[in-house]
Amino acid sequence: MTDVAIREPSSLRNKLLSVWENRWTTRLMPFVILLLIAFAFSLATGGRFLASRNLTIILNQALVVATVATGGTFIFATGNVNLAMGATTVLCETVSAMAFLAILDAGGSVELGLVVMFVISVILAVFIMGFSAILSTKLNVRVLYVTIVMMTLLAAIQQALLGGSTLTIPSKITRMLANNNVHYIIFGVFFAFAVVIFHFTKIGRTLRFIGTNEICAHQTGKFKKDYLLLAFVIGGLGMGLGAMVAIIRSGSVSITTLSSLNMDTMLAIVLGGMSVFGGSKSFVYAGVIGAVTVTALQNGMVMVGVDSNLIQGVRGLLFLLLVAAAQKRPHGLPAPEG
Amino acid sequence: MPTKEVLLEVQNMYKNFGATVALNNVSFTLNRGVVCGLIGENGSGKSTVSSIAAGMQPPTKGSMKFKGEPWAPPSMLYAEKHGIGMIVQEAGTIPNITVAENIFLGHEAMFKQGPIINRAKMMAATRELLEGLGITNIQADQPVRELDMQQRKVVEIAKCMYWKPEILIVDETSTALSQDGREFLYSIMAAQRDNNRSVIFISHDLDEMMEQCDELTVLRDGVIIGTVQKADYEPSLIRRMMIGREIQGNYYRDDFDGYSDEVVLKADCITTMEDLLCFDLELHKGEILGIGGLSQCGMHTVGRALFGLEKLVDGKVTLKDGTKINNTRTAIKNRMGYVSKNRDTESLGLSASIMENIASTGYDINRWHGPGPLISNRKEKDYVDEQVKELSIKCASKYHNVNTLSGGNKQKVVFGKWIAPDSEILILDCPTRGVDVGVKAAMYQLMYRMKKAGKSILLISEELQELIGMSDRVLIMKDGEVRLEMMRTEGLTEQKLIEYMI
Repeated sequence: MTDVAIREPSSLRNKLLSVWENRWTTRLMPFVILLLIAFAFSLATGGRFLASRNLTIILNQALVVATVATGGTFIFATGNVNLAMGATTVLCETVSAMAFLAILDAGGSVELGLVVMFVISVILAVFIMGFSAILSTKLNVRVLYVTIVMMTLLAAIQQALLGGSTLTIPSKITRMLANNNVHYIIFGVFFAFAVVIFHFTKIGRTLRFIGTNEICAHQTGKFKKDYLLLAFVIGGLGMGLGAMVAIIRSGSVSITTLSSLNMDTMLAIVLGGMSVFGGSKSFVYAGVIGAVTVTALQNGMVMVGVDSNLIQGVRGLLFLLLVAAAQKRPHGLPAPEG
Repeated sequence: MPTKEVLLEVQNMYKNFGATVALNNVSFTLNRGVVCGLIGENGSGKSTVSSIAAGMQPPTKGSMKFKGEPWAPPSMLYAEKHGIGMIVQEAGTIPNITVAENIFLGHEAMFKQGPIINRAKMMAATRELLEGLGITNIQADQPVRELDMQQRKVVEIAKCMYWKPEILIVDETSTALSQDGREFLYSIMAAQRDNNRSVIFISHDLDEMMEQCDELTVLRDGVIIGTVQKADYEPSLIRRMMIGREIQGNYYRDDFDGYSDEVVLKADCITTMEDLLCFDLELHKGEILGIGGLSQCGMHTVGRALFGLEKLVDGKVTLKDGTKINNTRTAIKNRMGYVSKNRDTESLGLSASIMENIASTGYDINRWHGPGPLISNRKEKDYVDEQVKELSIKCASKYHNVNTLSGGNKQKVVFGKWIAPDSEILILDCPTRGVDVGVKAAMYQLMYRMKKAGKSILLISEELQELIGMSDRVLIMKDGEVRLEMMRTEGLTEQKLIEYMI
């Protein structure tokens, strides 16, 4: 008789499996991955990776992705992938920078210009995302397809607005904002708002439940079309604020600005421990921890001299692996216990 | 006469799912020409052992022999082709392809002519198969999405039978079938026995098992408890073996208490896109109203329409205060609950925890303070803990995913979800489908307690015994209309009801 033994059930193994299945393991794993990356690059660079100056650079670089990704988790939680997050952020950055420079040119004050820039960025992003959600629910077209169209459309608008030119915000203004930690404050306030909404209110719980099973959610009185709009509006808020953080950080906008933002944001969300399929295992800090991890990975690879094309390849491969690992169990298999 | 040749031998089999031990040193043999029933509570390991034999998953440890040769099928397709076919408990067909494509899924190469699949040949083979099995109401080129649940199961049966399996495994299939569907399945099983082949039959219906099976092998918590031959069948003995304790022979209610005259839910000449035309119904306070019939009679649509899930072309559904129910949100706000017959796809978030599933009906109840937006974690935990305790949901932790639970415990989670918000009206569509005798008994007791507390229950069921045993009033439907209304009386029998169903 052929013995098809794989492994003997042992109490040690069962204990290890229990740890693996524990909800805290899922939550803590992204932090462990980040620590391992930091440790590995620290060894590879002789400790230069962990120098305070480099860590500050990583944090600053991660801030834009973290802000956009924090908003993005609301959309991903519903089980929808948004491909227009980067294009929306960049367009908001462009339009609001143009408005700011126009006010300065017209003799308006810097304060007025900043307020208008901020308001335009947020309102435009919320409008674009709200419009995308309504298009998806009213026309009954999948979010993915709507956002592919929006991504192309928004990029074309940005190209038409900028052409080959570069908009530059006077450096003394961006320095003044940075010195007052405005970018950190924007991110901090938005992150705190997102945590409360996502983890302590009906909105966050409902978004996760819709991501888990849309039909069941409907039968429990939670309508996808209403909550999808909410998710997109909050996501839009993150993109509008992300645009502001980006302006403070770099001070200039061109058609190549933040070209990899969408990919970075999606990679950050999944690296942060969230499934692209959304659902109950979604958490709002996934975007933040993921953004830091993505940036640390990129920074570390640059420091050890990896070719920039190869870095793009590694990030793409990593994303693919994480999505594959998060694939749901197919239907039609027997219930595990009987 | 069937010979005693051993067809399948399972030896010392273990199967673990994470930390859960589904099979613990299981050994049994299946002889030729035998219909062997596997029976046990949810989570006892019946589906697991049979799915391993059918190549759906490997064991953690252990071995098998099929027709005297070592047997370790790498896939279901392999097992199917080599003599063991299985009809699974869940949906086993793909909706957007044809019946023929479903039947030959994975075996398309059989119809290959050069690089091209000869579709006409595949259709012809399907037609021949369906005709041979006496299936006349399903077309080979029909997309499966156009078929109802029962017809889809029939397609799965046909798919299995194409390969003339030496062992046919029927896993909890009969609950998806109405009486005529069941008769069809039984005839296939009998033919297997007559042709000196075998059947492994899994069902929670003890009467059905005792009638159809030559022997019953009882499993409990992943362990074989014993095998009972037909001559020794004794329901109380088998139940005791299944659950390890004595259970009352009759677990239905035995009172004739009646109910209040107050109408709490009313369907007033409702018409839906399909099934119902000017349908009326009244549900009273403290009433268990049973609705029965064949699966396509429209009874499931009634439940959905009353809960606001079905678009009404005409008519209205109202509560006692005149509130119109036109969507699920209004229904839930007015303390209605609905248990779908499709538990896994409609009533549960399988990848969510027990906590998240039960708490999903309590977001507005478990607020931190007044009408504020924040939810109190403590209140939410209490909300869930109470149901886990009251319903005795077997779980290591309420944070475990629902898909790690057995069918009966999953159904308890669904019940908990609707009992927790103190629902006044419950619409239960086939609530005991696929659950074992112990869970069934617990659910019937719960329904009775709810009735006594003045709650109203609409019980839609394909099991006539259940309707007779639990309902204050039974409606039998056919073609979208009520053909018979019977009050709870001592003389009510299945025969009386069946006449009006068919």
